[in-house]
Amino acid sequence: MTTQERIMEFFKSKNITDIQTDTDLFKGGYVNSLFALEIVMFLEKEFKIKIKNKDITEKNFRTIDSMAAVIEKYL
Amino acid sequence: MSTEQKIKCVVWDLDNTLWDGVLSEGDDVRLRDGITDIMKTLDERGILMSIASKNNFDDAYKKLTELGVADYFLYPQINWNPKSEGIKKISEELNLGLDSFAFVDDSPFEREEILSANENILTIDAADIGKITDMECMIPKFITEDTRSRRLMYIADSKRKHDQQEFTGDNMEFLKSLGMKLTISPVTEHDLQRAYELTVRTHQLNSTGYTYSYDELKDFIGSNSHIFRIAQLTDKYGDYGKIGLILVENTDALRIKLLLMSCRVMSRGVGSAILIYLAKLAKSLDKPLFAEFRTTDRNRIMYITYKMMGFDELENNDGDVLLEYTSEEEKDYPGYLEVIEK
Repeated sequence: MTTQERIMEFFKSKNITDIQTDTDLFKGGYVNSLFALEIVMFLEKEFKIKIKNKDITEKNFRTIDSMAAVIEKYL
Repeated sequence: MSTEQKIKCVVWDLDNTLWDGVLSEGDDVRLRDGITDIMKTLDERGILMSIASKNNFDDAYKKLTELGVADYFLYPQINWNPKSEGIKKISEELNLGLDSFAFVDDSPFEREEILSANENILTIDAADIGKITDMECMIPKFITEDTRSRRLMYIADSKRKHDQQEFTGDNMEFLKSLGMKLTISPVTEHDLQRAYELTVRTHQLNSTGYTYSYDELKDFIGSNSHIFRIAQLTDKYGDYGKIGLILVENTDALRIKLLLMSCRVMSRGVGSAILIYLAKLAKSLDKPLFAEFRTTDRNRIMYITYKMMGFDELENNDGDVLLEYTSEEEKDYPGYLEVIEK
């Protein structure tokens, strides 16, 4: 599975299926505090990494593609 | 500043604690003397109650109903599992930390076992029931409208959660179906006790954990150099009460000193909506927007909220962080939340 596909699995587990890897998650209103925390925790667990505070940004989490790009820096 | 821990939930054993006798042995159990008054007092103080009892659920619940006290208890755990598991379940359902729980049981074994869930649970021998309402940790500093109706709000919440589990669409659709309205208003003198209560009760969804005395809070109301707002949330199930507090220093820049929300509104989008509200406000005043953040072991969720809403970290001194809002795009409130500014 690609990084994108692995991240997509998280959204599927939340019954969110109508998004693409380049969907703007903030504009769609998908992201609230708890969801944001859950995404960060999911990524850290799934990819066995610790995301640095400086990488937790609006830009990096806007789409699944941008999240994948950040994750790949750690791998 | 003070962080004295008050009890938010009392979990009762049944046999020889809440009632005299052992139900499963066929005793004609009766409520312990004075227990009704104690429960009524705790309920009026906004302290929630539940049950951890080794019994058959249907029999025990039927008895509680006959005795006229069943409605006091949220998420009762009546089964044959260890009580430490029961109390963890209650804490998860109520979204309250176990260090704010008290547990009343006549059995020394059970009082010891419960500590395996969390060693900071206050355990009380059933023989000491008469002392409960006089304990310092059982006396909230203020009783507000929200305190008195806390149990009812949790009951509405349990209905919501149940419907959410049954709901088949995605979370966004569920949120839309709630018809939520968030009202952000200037704090008035009438709100001060609730504002104080929020600052001392809220740990997870709290950006700095700063606490202020009643008089300090009162001074912010008339202050020209502060913006002091309280937020209330309602939906089709009812009122969540006054659930959020915002204190912003207003000088050449806006500087968020305090942003906090009750855990009951976690995952409702309130934090993001309030940050959008403040971003709009800063823009209308043509001032930069800063936020103070103090890292604790529980509030990472607030840090992530700030960062994902477009705040950048400027300074970090041992966990004391200064953030600045740098997002360039104009943000709008999420479609599932109607925001009313007063």
